Parts: sequence; C-alpha cells; structure tokens
Amino acid sequence: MKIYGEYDVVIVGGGTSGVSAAIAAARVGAKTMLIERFGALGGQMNISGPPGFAYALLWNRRGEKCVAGIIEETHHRLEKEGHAMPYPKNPQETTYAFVDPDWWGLMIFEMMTENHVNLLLHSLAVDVIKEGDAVRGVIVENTSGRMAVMGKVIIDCSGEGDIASRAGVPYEKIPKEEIEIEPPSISFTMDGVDWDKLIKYIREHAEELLDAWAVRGTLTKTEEEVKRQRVKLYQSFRTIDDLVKIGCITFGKLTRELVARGEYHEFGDLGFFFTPREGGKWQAIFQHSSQVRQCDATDITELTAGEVEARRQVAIALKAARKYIPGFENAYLSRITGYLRIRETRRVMGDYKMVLADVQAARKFPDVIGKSVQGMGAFHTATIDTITVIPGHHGIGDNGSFDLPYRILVPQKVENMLIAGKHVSAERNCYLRFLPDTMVTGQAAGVAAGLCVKRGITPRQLEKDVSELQDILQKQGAILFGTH
Amino acid sequence: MEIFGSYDVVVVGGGTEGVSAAIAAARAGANTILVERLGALGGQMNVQGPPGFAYAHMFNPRGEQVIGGIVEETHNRLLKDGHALPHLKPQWRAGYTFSYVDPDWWGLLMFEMMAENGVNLLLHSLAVDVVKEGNTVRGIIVENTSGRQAVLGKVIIDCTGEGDICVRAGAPYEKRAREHLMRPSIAFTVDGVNWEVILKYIKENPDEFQFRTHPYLQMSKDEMWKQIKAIKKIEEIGNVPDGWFSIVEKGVKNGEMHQFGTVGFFLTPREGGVIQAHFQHSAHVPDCDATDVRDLTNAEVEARRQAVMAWKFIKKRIPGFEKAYITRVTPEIRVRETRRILCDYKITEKDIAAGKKFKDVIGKDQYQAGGQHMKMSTMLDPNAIYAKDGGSTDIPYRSLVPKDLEGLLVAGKPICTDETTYKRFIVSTMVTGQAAGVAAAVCAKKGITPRELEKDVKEVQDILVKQGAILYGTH
Repeated sequence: MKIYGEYDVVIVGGGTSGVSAAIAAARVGAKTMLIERFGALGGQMNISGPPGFAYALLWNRRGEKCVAGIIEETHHRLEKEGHAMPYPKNPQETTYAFVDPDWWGLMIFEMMTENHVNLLLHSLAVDVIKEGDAVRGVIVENTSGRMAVMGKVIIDCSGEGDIASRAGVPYEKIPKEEIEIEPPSISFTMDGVDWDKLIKYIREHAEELLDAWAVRGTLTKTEEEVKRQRVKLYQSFRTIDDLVKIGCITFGKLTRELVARGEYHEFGDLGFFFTPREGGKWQAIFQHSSQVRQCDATDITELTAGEVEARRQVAIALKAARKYIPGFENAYLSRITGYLRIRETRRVMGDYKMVLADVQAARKFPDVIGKSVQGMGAFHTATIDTITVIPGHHGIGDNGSFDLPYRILVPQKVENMLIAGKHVSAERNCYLRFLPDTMVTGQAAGVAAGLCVKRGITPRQLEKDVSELQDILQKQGAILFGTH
Repeated sequence: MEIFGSYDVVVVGGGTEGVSAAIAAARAGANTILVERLGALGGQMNVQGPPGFAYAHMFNPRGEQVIGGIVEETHNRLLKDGHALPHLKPQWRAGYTFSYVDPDWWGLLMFEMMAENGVNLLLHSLAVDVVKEGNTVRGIIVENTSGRQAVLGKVIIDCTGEGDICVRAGAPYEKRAREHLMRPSIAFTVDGVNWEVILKYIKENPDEFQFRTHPYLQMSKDEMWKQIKAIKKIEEIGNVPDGWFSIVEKGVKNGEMHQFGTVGFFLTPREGGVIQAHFQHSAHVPDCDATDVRDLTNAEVEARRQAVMAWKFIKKRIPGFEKAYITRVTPEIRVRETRRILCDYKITEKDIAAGKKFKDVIGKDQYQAGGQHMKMSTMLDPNAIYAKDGGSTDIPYRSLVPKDLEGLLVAGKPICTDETTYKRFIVSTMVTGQAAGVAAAVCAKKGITPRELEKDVKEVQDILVKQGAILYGTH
C-alpha cells in the first residue's frame, strides 16, 4: 500500500479535540499530522454545531476559573477581533462566553498554519496498522485512493472511538433496549429577530418561562429559590446584551401547547442559545429543536435515518418559531448545520475510568491534565423536556471542579495510542462529551504524544511520571492546580 | 464482504445531479438508493455553495425557457413558500437570467423530496471502489462507520462530480493540465448590507463595474447604463459579478487585498424579502487538482486565507458593507473543474456554435462555450462561442454513457464534452442528473444496458417530458 507519510504524531479527526491535540503536539516540537474526513476543521464547534455549552462552564460555581489553555487562547483571540462575547464579570452567576463559530473555523485554519501542523483533509480513516499490540498507523481512503499514514503515536480524536475500536480496544456503549441514547441534533441559526419585542415579552411573562430545562435546583439552592431568582432576573432585562448572559431561553409552556395542538413535534423544546456576529449583532441558534430518538450513530442505517428525521423536525421548528415566538415574526433561517451533531456513542476504556463518584467528590488526581466543571448526571432525551437528571445528584460536591487524570486518555490493550474527546474513558454518568472537555483532553493528549516521541517511550510508560507533561500544559496556559 | 443491499439504481454522490437522478429514477419506478459521503444532500448548491449561477440561465437570450424539470419544480416550490425570488430576466442582460433560491431551505426541501419519492439513502458513506464483472459494473464499495460494504445495482450512476466511480471502473477520461484547471473557491455570505449605498455607488461609477450583457443583444454600453440607472432594488440587477475596480486595485497595491479574486457578489434571498450578499469570487486557489488529495488539502487552507483577507478588505473599503457581517462560510471548497469522462458522444464547441439539436436529446443548455472561470473574473473570455441564433444546444443521451463499460451512466460536470463546453453549471448538472435517473430506471425495467438504450431513447424522452423537462420547441 502507498504510504502517504510518516510523522511523530498522527491525529485522526479534526474536530474540537483533534485541532487542540494538533496545535499542542506541534508546539512541543512534534512533526504532526491531522487527518479529517471533511474539508473543514472544527467538527461540533462550527460544522455540526456549536453546542450551547461550547464556550461555557470554564468557571466553577465559586467563580474560580478552572478551564483554560487553547480554549481560552482561541476565545481571547476572537474577542480581540470582535468575534466573541467577553468573559462574564460574575462567573459564579453566569458562565457563557459565546464565540462566532464561522470565524472560529477560519481562525483554526490560521492556527494550523502558524503551528506548522500538516493536514490531510477529505480523508476517511478506515483501518489501523498494528504490529502485535503496537499501533503503527492508520489507513485512509480519499480521492487519491487508499493509503497508509504512519506515526509514532496515534491519537484517536474521531469523537466516536472509531480508531480505538478498530484497533481492538474495549469500549462501552449503553444498552439501547434499556436506556435512551442521548439524541443527535441538527442546529439552525435565525437572524432578523426583534430582540426588543422578545425582551419586553420575557419581562412581562417571566413566570411563564420557568418551564425550562435550565431552571432546576442546585447543590445550594432549591428549585423554588432558583425560580424566584429567575423571575427577578427576567424582569430586570432591558436589552439583548442582558439576555445573552443567561445563555439560553426555553419556551417550555409554548412547546407543550403547540405539541398538544399538533403544531410542533414532541422530540425537543423550542428554545435557543446565541451566536455573536461582527459589530455586536446577535443571532438565535436552536439546537434542541431537533432530537432524534434512539439513533445509534455507529450504525450507518440509523445514522442515515437520523439525518432525515432531524431535518423533518427542523422544518417544523422553523415554522413554529416564526409563527409563535414573540419577536420572531420576521426572523429567517440564516445557517443550518451540515450534518448531525452526535451526542453519544462509544466510551473507550482506558487505564482509569472516571466515575460519577469522582465528580461528586470533586476528586483531584496526581496525574491531572486538566479540569472540568460540568456537573454531570444530566442527559439529553428526545422529549419536550430535553434534559433528564439523575435523581438526588447535584453536581460537583463543593461547587468546585474535578480533575481529569492522564490515564483516561491511555486506551487498554494497545500501545502507541491515545484517545481524546468525548469517548475518553468514563462511565456513562460522567460522559465527558462537552466541548471544553474535548479541547482540554485534546490538548493534553497532544502534549503527551509529543513528549512520548521526544523521549522514545509509549503513552503507557509516560503514566509513571507526568510531571513534565503537567509543566508543559501549564506553560501552554492550562489550569491544573490551585482551584476547588 | 457485507452487502448493504441490492437496488435497481444506485446513485453515487448526493450533489445536485445525484439528488435529481435519484428523484427521477424513483419516479420512473426504480428501487433507488442515493449514496453520499456527507450527512447532507445538495453538494455545491447548499454545502459548498451556491455558485452564483446556481439557478440561472434557465432562459435563452431570446427569452425562451430552456430548462424545466426538477430545476423548475424545486424553484416553484420554494417560491411558493417564500424561499426564492421569481425568475429575474433583466432586459438589458438577455440570457443572464437568475432564479435565486434560499440554499438552506433548498437543502431541507431535498430531504423532503427524498422521503416523498421513496428514495433510499445511505449517508456518511464514501464510495471507494467498484464491483465489476468483466466490463460490467455491478455495484460499488463504500466505507462508513459500520465498516466496508458493497452496494449492488442494475445500473450505477456516477454523480460524484469528479467522475470518481467511472475512473475507478477504468473509464477513459480527459483532464486539463493542473495549471489550467479552473480554480476552486470558498464562499461566504454576509448580512446587514446597506443596499441603498451599494446601488447608489454603482449608478454613480459606471467605469468601476463590468456587467455582462449577451452579444445576441448588441447593446451599447450607454444603453446598458441607462437601464442600470433606472434600477430601484438590488434584485433587478441580477448580480454584481465584479467591480469597485480602483478601490480593489489600490487594495492589492497596498497589501490589503490579495490578487486571486475580485469583489463581486450574487444574491441569497431569505424569508420575508431579506437579501444577503454571497461572495464566491473572492477566493480562488491556483494550481489545484482536486483529484490529488495534497492539492485538495492545501487548497482548503489557501482558500480560507484569501477569504479572510478579502472580507476584511471589503468591510473596510467598500461603501455599503461597513456594518455587514459574515453569517455563513461554506465548510468546503467548491471544486470547479477536474475530469471529463469519455463517452459515446463528445459535445464540442462546434455543437454550441451551431445551436445543435440531437435526436437523442435529453435536455438543453444555453451557456456559451468558453465561459471559463478566469483567475480574475474581470476577464471575460474573448474567445467564447455563443449559439448562433441566441438559442440553446441539446445535450444528447450518448454523452452520459461512458466508453468501454456497461451498467454505468455519468451525470453532472464530468459528462463527455470538450474543454470549452464543460457542463459544470448547476442547471446542467440537474438536467443530466434527471436524464440519467430516468434512463437508468428504464434500463432496469427493460433489462437492458445503458448502451443498448442508445438505440431507442423515445421512452426516456417521453418520461422526461412528463417530468417537466424541456426537450423540444425552442431555438
């Protein structure tokens, strides 16, 4: 077979974990190759997204910043150019810092050039090359045919653990017969919204807008307290800049009424997050308004059917939004994602498996490579409610953060491989699928791979001493220590 | 190998010709599957585009409609729902007609039409090889999340846009030298444009713009500008292919703008009468052969570098765009030119010049030969050849039947033409797609090969006419 090239680090998948891994590996001096099946980089951030929590939850509930590194660097760079909303002034209250997804995508290409990352786009990884337990490369198919890309360390950033599973690494997937898979979504963005009209409506109907997935009890506040606070907050809104701080708005009551009248589907709420555009402009991005029930995205028949069903739901949602959301009378579709954003498939098993108890205990690990402040224990469901929560679970024990240990990136049974992104080793209750987590694990895997190559050791051997890995990550801006 | 399924007709590639072929085949009674590498349908129309001349040139310079079929049907359907502009036929432009649709709603409509017509879909699946028995193509091999599978069919239609399936099956083809290939683009759409300022500037600066009128009209520049000055809404102008020449020249000189494109735009209509400006000549990558993965990869990088530079320049320097903002960037480059597959008939520029009609006509085209996309689109091809009487030219069925192979049809850009008559425009891809779909279904029903069908295409023509295609009765 034709060999396309040989590299120190080969990253498979150019989504949020992959681009972070590539930048990080290249910065530690590795000759790095990033392979992507599409002509674009960014995956769930700009092609199939962004998700609402894209640039959010970088602070814990105490207001301490816990997540930084490449995610912060990219935010600040976009903010400087007028393509991002500034960091929140009171991060213990609101924690959204939206960025313009299209400019984000353009910037990522710039960063690849600046950091001399080699790219291989329009190339689908279809198999691995193994020598015993050692992974030596991947096989791709593209316009030029079938070819091998060799690497000293391979990082699976496919999002679904495609490479690890083809290499024979054990993985977990929920039993579909018993549990609902978190549904995939097609998102759409609307422009031309009369924000003043909407805000006036929110002010005057604050009580009606409490039927929303984001309005629920926390560790320190009962649901009633949260609701009272929300009403006050809604009544204080004056401009769109007030509204965007809360991240999203859900029209739960309206959704229920429309479903009852047959004017809306039953698979997601009518509600939206926000997309900032140049010059202070805001658009509404709907990403809970199409959710495909029980779609296993690692099965091609279900994935295909999911693309069809999601669009059917989107067309219904677009019409309902224009007709029934106050201020949307003259709003129009301005952008639709190219394919489904997949929330849940495989979790690849590594040398450590994160469990919900680690989250509840705000656990810290000696081999920390990053942090998360995601409360976990909440799942998307293809219903009007959108989210279900594990009863009695209230997130991170001390309202702090929990550590992500290096070992969750080291897959069992094979050598020379790392995993980053939503399929890192975790139990379902603390599935690390959120975008900041994917960029944190991506960056860490990139540095680790670069370091392994430099030292001539395997990712598993690096587990013995991660101090240099931690030093480099901190120099790259990552937060590892010193927070709750 | 696992067999995903066996069908009457397998359409490979879900771009503009592929969706048309699938709809047409299913309507003609075939059990049809459409295979696409992405999760979206529509290709250059809504994923990598749209190109400016997406739904355009449906009327010849005499004003006769020459394109109907699925193009007309989808335009009408979107128009009815407020997602399209009516056919724009500016008198002073003749033949340069526009029938703009909202590309995102067009994409949603395609999915609806697949469901309505019972087309089977296989998305997220890259076709990597063919299944052959002697010279007969029996199916294709795809790679996707479930692994490697075969998809078998009585007739396979190559709608990949680049002739990938024909070439892997061994069909002969032509391709110009890398440096002569038309350049691929990334497009971006902007909203918040001050159209009054734009129109005023155009009217006051005739030397700063170049609008195309058709030679059939023989209109003087003064006459043309008299008409432009009477325009009240941007829609009446059709498009602004390129202009602001002295501002751009200055920008290139002082390093604010690159030299690989122009400032000009087409229109994107949105619900409720909103018009966005769609830029797709502001990033052109030279020396890219998109059938070479290295070139293709490098082009994705270079196109974005150019697009960023161009937009910053436009926003800063072109009056009317001060408060505009990017609202959509195409996720992949749109590939203008690669292979032309050799088939049983090759359409040549002589055919265009003569406005030739064929017995085995399956559709028409009114575009000139030599309408090449230049490095700078300010350069109109001086050697372009136009149909003699302001009419159209037929596309014969034989130009869709690849040489040396059986069981295979080709539609879209790579159908058999010479260099200058390359049928890359969307309306042509949909016309040849629809025809290939009907032909494949007829072959499957009759148990004959696409080549055997050449002997008598009457049934195909009858079905096409019933499906709304225009085959006869125009210049």
